[in-house]
Amino acid sequence: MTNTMTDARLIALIEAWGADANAFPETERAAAKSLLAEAPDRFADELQAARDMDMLLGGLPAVTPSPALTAALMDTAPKARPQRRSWLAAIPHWPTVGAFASLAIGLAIGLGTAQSGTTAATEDAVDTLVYAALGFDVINYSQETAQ
Amino acid sequence: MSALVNRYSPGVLALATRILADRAEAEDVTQETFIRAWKALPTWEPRAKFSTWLHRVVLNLCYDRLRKRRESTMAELPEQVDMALRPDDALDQSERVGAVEGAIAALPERQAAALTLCALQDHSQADAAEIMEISVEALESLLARARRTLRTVLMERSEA
Repeated sequence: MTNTMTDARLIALIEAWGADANAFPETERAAAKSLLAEAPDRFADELQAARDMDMLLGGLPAVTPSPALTAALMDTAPKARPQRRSWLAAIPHWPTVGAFASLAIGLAIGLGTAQSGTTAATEDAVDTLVYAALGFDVINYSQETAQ
Repeated sequence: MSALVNRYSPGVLALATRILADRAEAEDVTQETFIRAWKALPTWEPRAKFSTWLHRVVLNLCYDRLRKRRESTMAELPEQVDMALRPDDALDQSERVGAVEGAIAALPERQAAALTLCALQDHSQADAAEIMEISVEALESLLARARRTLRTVLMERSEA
């Protein structure tokens, strides 16, 4: 239908959509206009009848809601509730607060993990090495300290 | 909310008025449509455009009302409008408007809806088809029948 248009199809379009070819379905509009331009007299009767109907329909006044109806419609509309101010709203700049909170939590976890990860056994071994390097006998040093 | 009311209530009311041919009933339907909209808004999921959804609601409410009208044998029929279309010089504007509005109201409901959405309101073909939950081809068929019926009725009246 995009490239070909028959007389019968064009008449059907006029009868349905009216005399203005711009109201025809987009896919058929160009072909319809082309055929109309090619042989305008052939469709004069249909176009005139459609034009008359278009004028009658176009002459109908717009239906407008009365102020009373508009007011009634507004009355039925849900009313906006006053917004309650949450205590959370008092804290400014959530992204900043969030970033600091993340940093603090990260540090706390990191430090905690680092401390707990250094076991007593590891500490003892390191101490032994250090004391040995310094010329101390750890066991004797400990006994002397105890005395 | 007032923006929604101002933007959509004229189209909703116009559609209901054209289909129901009863202003008071159309206003009731408009209110019911917006009440449904207010209820739907908090959980609104944009599967369709809001405008499309809203017009679909009003259409369905109109269809319901028309069905109840038909079912109710005691119901009073809406006042019949004189659809006579006399020669232009003998017919003043208000009579002409009354005749056309009456002829539209006398159309089968889906034809009236198609005509109103496409010819009287600024809905695109795709939007109108989506509102009516039909294809564009089916919409075209409804429109053609509506315009043909309208023309026949108005011409018969003018000849009578």
